[in-house]
Amino acid sequence: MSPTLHDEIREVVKEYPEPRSAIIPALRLAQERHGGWLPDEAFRQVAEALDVTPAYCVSIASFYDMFHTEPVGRHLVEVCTNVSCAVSGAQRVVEAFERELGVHAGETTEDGNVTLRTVECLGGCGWATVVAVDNRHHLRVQAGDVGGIVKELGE
Amino acid sequence: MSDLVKLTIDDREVEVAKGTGLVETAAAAGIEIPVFCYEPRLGPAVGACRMCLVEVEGMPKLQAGCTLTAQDGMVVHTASTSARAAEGQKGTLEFILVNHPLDCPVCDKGGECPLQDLTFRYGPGSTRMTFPKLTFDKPIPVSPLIALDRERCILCYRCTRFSSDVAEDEQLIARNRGAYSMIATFGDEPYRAPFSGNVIELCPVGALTSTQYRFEARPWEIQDVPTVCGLCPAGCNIRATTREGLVKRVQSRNHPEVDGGWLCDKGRFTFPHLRSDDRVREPLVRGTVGLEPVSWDAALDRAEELLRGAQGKIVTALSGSETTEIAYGLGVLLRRGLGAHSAVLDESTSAALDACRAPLSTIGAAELVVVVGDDEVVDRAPIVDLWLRKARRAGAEIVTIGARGSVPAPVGGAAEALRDLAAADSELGGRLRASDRAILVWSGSGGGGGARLAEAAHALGFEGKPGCAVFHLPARANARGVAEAWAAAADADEADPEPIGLLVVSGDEAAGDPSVRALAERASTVIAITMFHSLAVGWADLVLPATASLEREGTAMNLEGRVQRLRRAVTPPVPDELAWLSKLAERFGVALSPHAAVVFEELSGRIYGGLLLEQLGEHAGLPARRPYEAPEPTPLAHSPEANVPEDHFVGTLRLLRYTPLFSGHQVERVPELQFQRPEREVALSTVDADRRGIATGDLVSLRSNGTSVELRARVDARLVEGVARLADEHAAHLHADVEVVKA
Amino acid sequence: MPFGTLKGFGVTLKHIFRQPITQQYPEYKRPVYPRFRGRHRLNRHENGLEKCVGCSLCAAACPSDCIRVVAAENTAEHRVSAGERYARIYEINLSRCIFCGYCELACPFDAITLGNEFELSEYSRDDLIYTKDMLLAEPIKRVPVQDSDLYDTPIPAYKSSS
Repeated sequence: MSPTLHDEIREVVKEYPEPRSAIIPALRLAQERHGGWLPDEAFRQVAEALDVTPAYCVSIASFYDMFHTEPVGRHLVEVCTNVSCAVSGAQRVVEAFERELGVHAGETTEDGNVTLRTVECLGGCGWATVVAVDNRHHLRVQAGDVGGIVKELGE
Repeated sequence: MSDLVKLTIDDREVEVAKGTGLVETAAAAGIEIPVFCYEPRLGPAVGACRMCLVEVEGMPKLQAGCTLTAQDGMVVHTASTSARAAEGQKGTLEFILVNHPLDCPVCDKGGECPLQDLTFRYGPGSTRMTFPKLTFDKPIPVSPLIALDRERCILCYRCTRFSSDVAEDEQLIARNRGAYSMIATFGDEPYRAPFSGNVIELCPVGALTSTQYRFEARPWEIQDVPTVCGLCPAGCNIRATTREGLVKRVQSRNHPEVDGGWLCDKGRFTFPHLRSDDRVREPLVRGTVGLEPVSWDAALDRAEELLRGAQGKIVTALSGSETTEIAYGLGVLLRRGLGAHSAVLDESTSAALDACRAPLSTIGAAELVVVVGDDEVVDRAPIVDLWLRKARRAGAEIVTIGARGSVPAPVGGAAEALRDLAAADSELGGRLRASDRAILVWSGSGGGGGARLAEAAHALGFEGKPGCAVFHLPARANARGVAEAWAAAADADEADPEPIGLLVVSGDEAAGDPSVRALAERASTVIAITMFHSLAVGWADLVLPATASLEREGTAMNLEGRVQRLRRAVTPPVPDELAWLSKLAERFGVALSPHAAVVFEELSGRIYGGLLLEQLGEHAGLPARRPYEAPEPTPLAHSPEANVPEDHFVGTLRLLRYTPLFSGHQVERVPELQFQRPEREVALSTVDADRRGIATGDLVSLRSNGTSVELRARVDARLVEGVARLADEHAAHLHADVEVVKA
Repeated sequence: MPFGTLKGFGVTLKHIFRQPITQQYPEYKRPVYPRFRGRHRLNRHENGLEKCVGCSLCAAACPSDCIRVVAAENTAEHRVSAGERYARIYEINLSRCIFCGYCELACPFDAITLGNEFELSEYSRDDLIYTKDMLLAEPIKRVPVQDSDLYDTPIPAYKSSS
């Protein structure tokens, strides 16, 4: 295993009363190192560093939305479809993304560039529809803005 | 807990101890609150299934009954008196059944399924759901022993709670969340843990089923025989399910003092060895071309001839897995009938332990547990490991002293560690002395363990404290019972005969023991009593077929000193040992009954103070402590560790062999258990590994005296320096000192 | 002679001139009612798979304990029934069966039904244990050995064609 990930995790562990409490930051670190998602190897590494079982890591990672257990594209587009965004036309935004990218929500483009997902509330109900592109929020997105966002991602 | 609370359930007044769960309180009043997920043995209730909905006056919504405890003045209405609760339960069941396939005729749980029963009693008669149900691939092998059907799963989380909170192996988990949750292991890896089989019994539906029992029988076609597991000295109470004269599965039979309702995978899954292909089904006599089958009459003639021919120069190698009655029968024949007193039994138990005996469940309530010895508790008596885990969860401190201990000790240093503990200046010893809930466990072979432990406990003043106890974990299931029965069979003692005229090898453990094989080299003739051909060929002049513990009537004494009754689950394919022992005894003019019950009666008069078989019952009690008698200074058997030189060659490592839980002739004969056997690897301490530039996963070669073994290395941070630890079955002919080099 | 005796003879005399209703068995076999419960049959689906999944509910329902089922698992290469399991062994001991039809009621898949055959005599008791193959096979048609018209009852109301 790459010694630095292990060391990084051990560094984080120091902040917590016991190693297993650090599982979420540890998984986040592992995800960063494994191209935005968590392959089995990542779980083994985290488990080894925290002295827990890989299965336990999977149970945590699969519970939380921000961890990906399937490969994702280089960029991640997340469209909120919760109530506020839904009434502001989130569905049309999703459809626009699907058209522009040629994939369905939950899928990755063929070139592996972009993954499109629908998510629950991103905490921006006052600025609906919210779209998070690589964890950066775009506010008040309308279907017409989608082309520009996708173009940016293509570069 | 002494103060009582009074509450009303379904218009009935109940008085229970404060803190009692509502489900138990209702049960005390004769009222059922149906549950799926609730299982007090798994820890606090989670209220996952919502089946236990009740109406509590003063609470606006229906409550999950299992999560509540009895409160004074509480007024509870269950489904039988509250329409709201009944409606709620009906709705809950309807939801539970939304994706349940209702394939009861095909399902192994059908007929003994809580979901089936409760749906029948509380559920709606029909469904309103018209859409297709969720489907999954099925069955998914969670391991070669357990099949998972995700369609049937109702997500009660009993299995995952067992895995994380009881066995603490954390291998069975719930993946995803909400409606997409599913039970899984990591990737494609099997659920590899010593207690995995318990999840089958815990599952309230047919989601986790045994692959061995798959489609073998239905509940109305089986007989359950209550007996005791004969594979380790814990003596867990089990129930053998039989159909058409064959054991089909083994389940736990909760004895709260011994096993708490859990059972290890060895006890649960090894029964197929009864039907092994190489089982000896008739007596065999060495002829011109190896072993030839003969009639029983001819076999007994030959046995008589061999016994007489030895002229009393007979040594008996006992296994320690015989029933007490068989050991006594052998003793009567050989000691009383032939005056042959010499026996070997590689155990070091002691009757002096009875001064500080207590149920195994005492461990669960302890505050300080000290385990001495080089063997892992789980390898010797697995259920004790669960009790230790329970104690630790409850806040107890567990100190292990040994080669992998929290307090490192040299290999074979258990006896010294105990002596140090008993010394007046020991800090840990002082705490043991002061505590009212302290436990001492010896988990290792040899070293006069039982006697040393009894002495230490005496020195620490354990006898007067009922919460303090000592447990010696022998290697064999009935080590104490066999030793005592052999001793009780006759009075005289004689020195070891030399040369040995005849070696009688009783049982498979003895037949597979290298030291017994070495003894056989010195014997002119050998009689082997064994179950399997491979253990019989090549050395025996006469082979008499043996039976397994599931096929035996009789009693066995477990490590606590509890006499428990074995019942014959199935008729063995051969006459049992007592049947032919009594015939042989007749030829030598000594009386021996062929019936275990009669033999027990005779034996009981000699050593158990006239205890009756009926008094043992289904859940045998533990006799009261006996006054302490200092054990004899020399232990019954010699241990290999006792006479190993202190210093070893520089640069070499001390070989620490251990017998893994999943090993032995029974496990070898069960193909689906093979995945549980230990990897071919050797454990090295961090220091030793670093010094040799070895990392986990490297191929290393172990050499000693011209033999060498190649296996993978694993760096074990807990292991003491200077030791190479590996499983017996991989150690082959390696000597005590080994050279470890990277291959 | 008392009058009663004479009356009895009178009845006898009257019947001498009536037509007999006797049916000549085995030359002629009287048809049974459609719901008559004769020996069992195991059924197949239209695609040839057995309906029986080996659930043993019939054995549980049987009051005379004459059914023995041993199940096994279907595999992709060896598929016998539609479900996960099938009956590897299915035996009915017809010498014990009381033809109550409970097995038919208990069966969740309509796999077992009671047919119309009632001629189940054998020279050996062992032969009365019917195996799965026998129960799955079409029953042997035991045709009348003689012309039915010749041996049928002469009374129109009892005639089989009526």
